[in-house]
Formats: sequence, structure tokens, C-alpha cells
Amino acid sequence: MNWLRLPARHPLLLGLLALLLICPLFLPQTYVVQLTDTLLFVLLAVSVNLLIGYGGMISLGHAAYFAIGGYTAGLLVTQAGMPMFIALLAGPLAAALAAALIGLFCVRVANAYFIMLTLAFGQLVYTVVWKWRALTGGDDGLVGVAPPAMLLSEIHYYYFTLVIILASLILIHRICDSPFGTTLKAIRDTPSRARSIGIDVGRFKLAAFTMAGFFAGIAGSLYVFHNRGIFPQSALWVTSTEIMLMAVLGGANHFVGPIVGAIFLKTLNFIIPRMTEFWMFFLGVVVLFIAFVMPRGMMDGYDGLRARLKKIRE
Amino acid sequence: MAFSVIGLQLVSALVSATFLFLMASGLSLIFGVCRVLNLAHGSFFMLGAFLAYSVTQVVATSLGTFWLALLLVPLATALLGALLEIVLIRRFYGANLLVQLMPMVALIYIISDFSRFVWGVSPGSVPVLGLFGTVSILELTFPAYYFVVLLASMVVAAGLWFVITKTRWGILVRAASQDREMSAACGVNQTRLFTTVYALATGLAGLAGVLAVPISGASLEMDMTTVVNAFVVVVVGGMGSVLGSMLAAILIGLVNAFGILILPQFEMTFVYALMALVLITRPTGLFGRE
Amino acid sequence: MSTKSMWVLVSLIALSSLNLAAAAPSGEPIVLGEIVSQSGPFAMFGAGHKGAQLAVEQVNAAGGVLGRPLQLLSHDDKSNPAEGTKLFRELASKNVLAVIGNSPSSVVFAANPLALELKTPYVISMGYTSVFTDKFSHRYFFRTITSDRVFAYAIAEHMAKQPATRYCTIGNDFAYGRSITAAVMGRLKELKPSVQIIPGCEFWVPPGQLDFTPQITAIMGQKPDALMFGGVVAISSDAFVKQAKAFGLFTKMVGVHPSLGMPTNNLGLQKADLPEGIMTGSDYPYPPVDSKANLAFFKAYKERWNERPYEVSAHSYATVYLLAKTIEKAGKVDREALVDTLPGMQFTHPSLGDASIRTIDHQSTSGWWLGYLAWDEKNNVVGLRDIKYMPGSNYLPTAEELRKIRGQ
Repeated sequence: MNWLRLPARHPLLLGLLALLLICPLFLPQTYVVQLTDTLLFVLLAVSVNLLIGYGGMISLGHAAYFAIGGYTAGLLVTQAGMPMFIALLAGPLAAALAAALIGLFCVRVANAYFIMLTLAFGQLVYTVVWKWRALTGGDDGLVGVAPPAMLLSEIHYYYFTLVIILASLILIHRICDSPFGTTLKAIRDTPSRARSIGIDVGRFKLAAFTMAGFFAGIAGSLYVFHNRGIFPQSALWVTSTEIMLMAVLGGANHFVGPIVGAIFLKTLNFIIPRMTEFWMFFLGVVVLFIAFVMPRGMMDGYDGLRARLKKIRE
Repeated sequence: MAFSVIGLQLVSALVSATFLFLMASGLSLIFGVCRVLNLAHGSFFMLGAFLAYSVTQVVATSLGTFWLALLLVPLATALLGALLEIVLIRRFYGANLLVQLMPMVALIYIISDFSRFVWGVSPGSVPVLGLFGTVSILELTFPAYYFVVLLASMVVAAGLWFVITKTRWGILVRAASQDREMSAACGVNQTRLFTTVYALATGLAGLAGVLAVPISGASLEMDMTTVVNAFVVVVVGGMGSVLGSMLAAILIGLVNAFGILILPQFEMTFVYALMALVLITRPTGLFGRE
Repeated sequence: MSTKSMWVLVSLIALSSLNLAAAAPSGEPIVLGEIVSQSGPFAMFGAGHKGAQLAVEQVNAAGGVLGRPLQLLSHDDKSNPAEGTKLFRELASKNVLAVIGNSPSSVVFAANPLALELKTPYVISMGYTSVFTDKFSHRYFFRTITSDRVFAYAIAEHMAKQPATRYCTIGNDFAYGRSITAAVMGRLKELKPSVQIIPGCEFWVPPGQLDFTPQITAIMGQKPDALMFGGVVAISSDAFVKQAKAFGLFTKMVGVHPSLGMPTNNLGLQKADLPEGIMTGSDYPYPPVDSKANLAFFKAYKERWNERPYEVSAHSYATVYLLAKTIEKAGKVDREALVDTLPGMQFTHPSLGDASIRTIDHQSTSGWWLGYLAWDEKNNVVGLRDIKYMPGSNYLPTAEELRKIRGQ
């Protein structure tokens, strides 16, 4: 089985997984809430990496699909009285649908235009969420979304999230390893050559865009129950930038990179504001430092370090 | 609709367009020549506003100190821009847009909190609007300062046009934005060209900040709100085209000002809707090239 | 902590040890959580933390509560509701007795249901939106300040006596902005049926907007008698007032804004920016209200923080004192006991005087000061003239009205 080989190929992942499984049992509740939140951003960062790392598409509007997933799931529960599991299915589907629609326009362009177009559509989604008060609650947010009693406890919800996130990660990994993923990589590296050997570049990109939206939707629908609600800020371009930053910090060339990036940034975001009022400044300094030392991300830096160590030993 | 209403809205659209243009033209230049998406452009705008506030605070606020700020502050932000280009941005030129994201986001964070540290959380005011008096045309009354802003932007636009079309530097800029490799191969000193372009653009952002401060004050959140709007203008106008930025700025100013008049409840959505519309029909913007 | 504040702290502790009547508090501290906006668009609410901290230090210097010291555990919500909910859950899972809130209404909206779910008292000293204490009121939610209904009704009463009938409105498009606009205009129409909002002259701008030129020109084009811009707050209100003054907007129409006199809404304004005659109010008016309690607070705050207090500073200062008194009365440190004891408690607010927490909706009976915007020459800040206190009890909903609002 392909997915069984995954941890073996990434020893880091294996350790991480063990840590994620065990440590909530010993952590105070505060950190469990924090961990669940981090897991959701891990999925977001990995899903956006489907676009960057494999399709070469830099999206500054990815938070829109996170929000669409979240709002859809939340609204189904609060307005239509649907059970949670239906909401968890419908949220990602709605996000994928939106991504497919928006992607139709976005994949036609490349590079900076792609960035700007995704940003524009992201902001459009944000303003619609903000302005459509009757449905979304506007800036008051959609509140009062709670999971069923069984999942109310922080630790139960954590393990519930962990299972879904792990399943999603394995699925994404399989997609990346499949012929589809290889084609995407080919498109990223040399789009013109891919086109010349008869690959329908646009369709592949659109498929990747839709899938990325789907997984962002999963994160969104899990988030709305975890957070007991969702707010328009979740669709804002600043959130999209944060997701991108996670992927880049960790290393967009690696499957594990965005995972590391998300955990790293979320941890900093938790620790630094508790140490200083000027948390943004220090966060900026850390990011700048990494940009200088490991411009291709932390995983690349880690690989480089290992290679150098190996050389020294030899 | 009464003539006076249309007249008022027209002038206010042009004033809004001025700030958009000053910001967007710089962004567009940087992107065209250096191939960098300067996400931190709004931070220079905010710095310009706060520095202008500080300059006018040193002595009593008066027209004199305001003119002084108008002269000094854009130079200061240009200098800072040049400095950052040399020590920071330059290292990321070869890299793709993705890698540039890290230093840009870091700059936004650092400048934002630096400003909070230096100027605190309360907004700064440079109350010179009253000192300029008002201008009355027919039955309309306008603060004269708004015309100063319009005039300043026209001077900048004319200056940019002159520099880009008539000077050697401008030829280099145009050459670099059309084909960077070729211009390098022809022996253009790209290092210096890039630094000057970055300095000019951040100087323009600083100028926009100084010009904005009498109207809106200097405050911490102005970096983010401005940069998104400026990006919208660049995208609608087409990246790398200064003329495109100008026309797009005017278009967006008009759409917003008259949109408010007709459907005030949809404020905020017009601009993004316009952008999406333009990009769907012309993916590279009104004046952009593939 | 700066060296200066460190010294103040040290001297406070020294003073308290000299004071034989007040034994130094000992034992495990009683922890109060605080969610406060110190960054983001509502960063000025960070002054609320300073008020709370001052009160904690004073209470401890005077012997603490039940002989134990008070302690404040404060976190920045970055003016972001999602961050607010995370912090609320974090604080609730720790041994904090109650959570104090100094955040904009959007954060309160988000955290309020969690207070009920996690059975943790949430006592806000910022966020005037009335819906928190009527429709969304619950056992664990308290507000120690007045509600927008009080300013809206009082200012509407005043405006109803004026000749103006044709109104325009503009507000930031967020919970408080909409709540205050609806409350003032709704009440005004009830009191004076000839009042109308000119069709198409109702503007909503995003919070944090700084350029109002197109809205101002559009409003001038409609030639209304009065402009109700009470929904424009924080950094937006500064910018709006400046631009309105430049256009001479308020020489052509009456300006109405219930909270422009509050320091957090006029922080960046200087004397030359100020239009004359705007009908407004504040719950911390300048020059400072001339009462013994307020002058003492004003002086202590300035010494401790080297800056002037804002309304939010006074609110959270009063809130900590109220909580200290409540814990003493309850006789034990327990969330349920606190919630049982708080309703009906009397307390003193520096500038608003004596008030109590209502049992029917858990909000304060304090009111606010009505007046006209004017420059305070002595403190060199925006102030009010001809102020008049409007007690909250005259305007707050009765039990009957509350039942109707809540649909019971």
C-alpha cells in the first residue's frame, strides 16, 4: 500500500505523528484548543501547496474557500438544522464548486496576474460575506455553531479533527504521487513543454485549483464547529497571505514543508504575543531571518544541512 | 441629478483617484522593472503620513512646516526604499514571486509595529486643511487643499511621463520592463537602475502619504487598506503600465463616487466587482501585456 | 514594564507596607482574565488594560481581596473576533475567576455565547451594543457601562425639540455602527413623526475607512437639515470630522454623534480640526468631571501611565473595583458565587458616579454626559461644553420591554 510508505519516506512525519497522537493527553486544555487550530492550518497550508508546489500557482485568495466551506457548514446547521456530518460534507463541496467557478477565470493567466486575480476574487468573496448580512450575519459573524455533545469537549474534537486531517493529508499525498501530480509538476516546471506534448494545461490547473479549494473547505467546515462560529476576517486576503506564508516558510518544494511551516508560524503566533506587545515586529524579524537563511523554506534548509553534515562525515 | 451634485462627485472622484494613482504607478513601475510584487508599498505610504505628522509637530503646525514635510518626507521614504532595496529586496530578484513573499510580509509586519512603537495607537493630525481656505465654483464650495492635491498629482504625472519618455533613465526603464535579459545583455547597469526605480516608487508612496495626512490623518491601519486598493488599480490598469495605472485610478475613483450616489448600500463591492469584470474580459488589465 | 512604572509599583508596594491598617495580601492570587484589543483597528482600547491594571495595583496596595492579591491575566485579541474566541476558551480553561472585556462589539458577539457554554463570567467594560444585554443576555454575561440605547434615546429626545426633519446618516458597517444608527433614528421618528431619512442618503462605510470625500459630497448634494453620523467611530471618526470641517459640512447642517466626545473616537483631532456645535456626548468628558472620585482617578492614572485616561480606562478601572467588591461580598472565589452576587451590586464609576448592576439584564445603570463638542484648552484635547448628565435608569428598558424584545 502506497500510503504506508509515506511515514517511512518522511521520518520527520512519523515523529510528528506520534507527538500529535500522544501529547494532547498530557497538555492543559489551552494547548489542545491551540493544537486543533494548528491542525486546520496545516491542512490549509498543504492544500495551498497543491497549487504552488505542484501547479506553480501562487494564490492570495485561498482563505475564500476556507470561509466558503465554513459558512456553508455553519449555515446548514444553524439555518437548515442539518446534522453536523452533512455540513462537513457540504462545506467542502461548496468550496470546491466555488473554486471551480473562480478557477475557470484564474487559470487562464499566470504569475503575477494569477496572484492578483485570486486576490481580487478572494476580496470579492470577503465583501459579499460582509455585506450579505441577512444570510451570513455580516461582521457579527455566524455564531452559535456547536458540534454535537459528544464532540463538545476540546480533546474529543481534537482527535476527531486529527483523524480527518490525517486522512486528507494522505489523500493529498496520493494525489501528488499519482500521474496527475507528476503532470502538475511538469506544468509547473515547463508549462510550454507540457503544452507541446499535448497536455491540456488549463484543465489540469483547474482540477488542482478545485481540489485545493475542496481541502480548504474541509478545514473551513471543521473550523466553524471548533471555533463555534466564523467571521468575515477568515476570508480576508491577510488570512490568505498567512496561509501562503506558512507554505513558503516551511518549503513549498516538499510535501512536509507546509506542515512544518504551519506548525512553526502558529506556534510563534501563540508564543510571541504572550511575551511582548510588539509581537508583529518580532514575528517579522523571524520571517526575515528565515527568508535570508533559507529562502526556499525550512525543509530545504534542513535538507541542505543534512547534505552538508553528510559531506563532513565523508 | 442636479449639476452641483455631479460636479461635487466628479471632483471627489478625482481626488480619490490621485492617491490611487500615486500608489499604483509606483507599484506598477517596481513590478515592470524589478519583477517584484511590492506588497509592502502601503507601509511606505503610512510611514510618509506619520513622518509628515512628526515634521509638522516639531514646530507648530503651519503651512510652512507642511510644505517642508512635503519636500522632505518623500525624500526620506525614497531613501529608505533605496536602502531596503540594497540590503534586502535585491537578494530576492532572481527568485520567483513566491520566495519574495517572505521578505515582503516581514517588512509589512516590522514597519507596522515600528510605527506603533514610535507613534502610538492614536492617529496623528496635521490640521492644515483650514489654512488653505476654500474655493467656490458657481454654487459649489471645495476645500482649496483638494485642488493642491490634484495639482500635485498632475505635476507628478507629467514628470513621470517626461522622465520615462524623454530621458535616458526612462529609456532604460522601458527597455528593462520589456525585456530584462536583453537590456542586461546590452550592458545596462541594472543594479543602479533597480535601486533608483525602487527609490522613485517608494518616494511616490511617501508623497501620497504626506498629501493624504491633512485629509485623513496618519493612522496604523492605513497601510493595509491602501495597498489593496492600489493593487486593484494596477491590476485593472495592467501591470507595468503607468498610463494604465492613471486611467484605472480615475475609472475606479469615478465608479466609487457615483456608485455611492446610486446604490449607497453596496459601497465596497463596486471596486472589486469592477476588477473582476475587467479581468474576466481582459485578463492582463486594460493596458497590460502578457 | 518600563523602569518608571516599575518605580511606581515599588513605591506603591512600599506605601502599602507602611500602611498598618492594610495588611499586605498573601496567598494564592485571585486571577482575573482580560481580553483587550491592543493591536488592529481598535488598538486604542488597549488603554482599558491600563485602567484595570491601575485598579488591581490599588486594590492590592489596600490589602487585596479576601486577604489575597488580585492578578490580571491579559491577552491581545488583535481586534479580531476569531482571536477573541480562542482567547476566551484559553482563559476559561485556566483558573481565572472572570474575564474582563475591552474589545469592539464584534469580539463581544463572538465570545458571548462561549461565556454561557463554558460557564465563565464575561464582564465587559467596552461594547455598547444593546443587543448583548437584551436579546443575547444570559447568566454569565455582564456589562458595567451604559448601552447605546441610553445615548440614542437621550440624544433623540434632544433632537426632537430641534427644527431639523430631513436627515442623512452615515456609519461604519459593523455591529455598533448599525445599532446606534437604528436606535437614534428609530427613537427620533417615534418622538417626532415628521422626521425622515432622505432616500439614498444612508451611507455605510467599512470600519477603518479614512477617505470620506465622495460620501461628504454626496451628503452635501442632498442638502439635509441634519446628519446623524454616530456610527462613524474610532479612526474613521477622526478622519470624517476633519474632512467635514474642510467642506464646511456642519455650517450647512446640524451634526449629531452620541459618542464623538469619547476620547477613543477623537484621539487624532486637534483644535483646528474641530467643527463647532456638534451635538454629542461622552462617558468620560473633558475637562474631567469635577468630583472627588474622578479627580483622584485622573491623578493616579496620569502618574501611573504618564498619559491621560480614556473612557475605556475609567470603565475597566471601575469594573475591577466592582469585581473586588463582589468577591468580598460573595465571601469566596468561585465563578458561580460571583455570578450570583453581581446582580444588584452597587459601584462607583470615576466620571459617572454611583451605579448598580441591574438584575433583569445584567447591565449598569450608569448614564452618560450630553453636550456640545468643544476644545478643552487646559488639557489640550477634544472636550465637551454645557454638559448635562443623563442617567441610564431613565432610558434603559423595563422588564416588560425586555420581555418583548426577547420574545418571551
